[in-house]
Amino acid sequence: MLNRTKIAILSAVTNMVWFILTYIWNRQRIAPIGGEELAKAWGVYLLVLVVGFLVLDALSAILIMTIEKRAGGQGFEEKTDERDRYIEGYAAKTFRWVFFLSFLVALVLLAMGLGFRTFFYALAFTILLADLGMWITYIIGYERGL
Amino acid sequence: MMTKKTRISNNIRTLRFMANEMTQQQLADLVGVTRQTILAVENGKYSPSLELAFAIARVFGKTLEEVFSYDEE
Repeated sequence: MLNRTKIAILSAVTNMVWFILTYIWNRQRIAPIGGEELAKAWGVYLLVLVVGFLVLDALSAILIMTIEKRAGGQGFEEKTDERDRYIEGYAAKTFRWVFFLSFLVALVLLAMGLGFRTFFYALAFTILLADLGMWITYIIGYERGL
Repeated sequence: MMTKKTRISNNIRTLRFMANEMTQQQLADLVGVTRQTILAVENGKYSPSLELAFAIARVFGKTLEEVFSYDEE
């Protein structure tokens, strides 16, 4: 299995775990809140979620590359070539499309009158789905080919 | 995971063997890509860019058609 596949799998798993943990934390936190405080609380949660994803992605890459380097490989010296950029392009495209479609669903739910809470929950899932879609594309790209 | 084969096949592995058993890493270094990319090209998992295809053919002193072929089916 390629290093970049390992990074993708580790990132997807850690991000999923981070989502679950923060989801549970947020649910308890926002239960008694209403009005403008609710919007502020959701803003904080979504920021924590996204920043957490970015940090975990970086840590996953550092971990895998460090292990690989210690095993005698190139680690971070491994270059990025046209195939990496090709797969990255597809992954970015997947992220954009999943994010757009999921966001559209969130807007539809809001337009249907299901309220801000539902909208923000849908937004959180939008971020998760787009992130997972991106990592799955990386895995398919490197292991199977696109 | 089942490999998605491209329509472009090649005989890079044979040419490497005939070129003093050149390794994938050596070929990768000569054309400026990673060993994994050469592996993916050889296994039909990745279609190289025109630039890369020409670079590979040049390493072996062959034309593009002598290294790569397009499967019509």
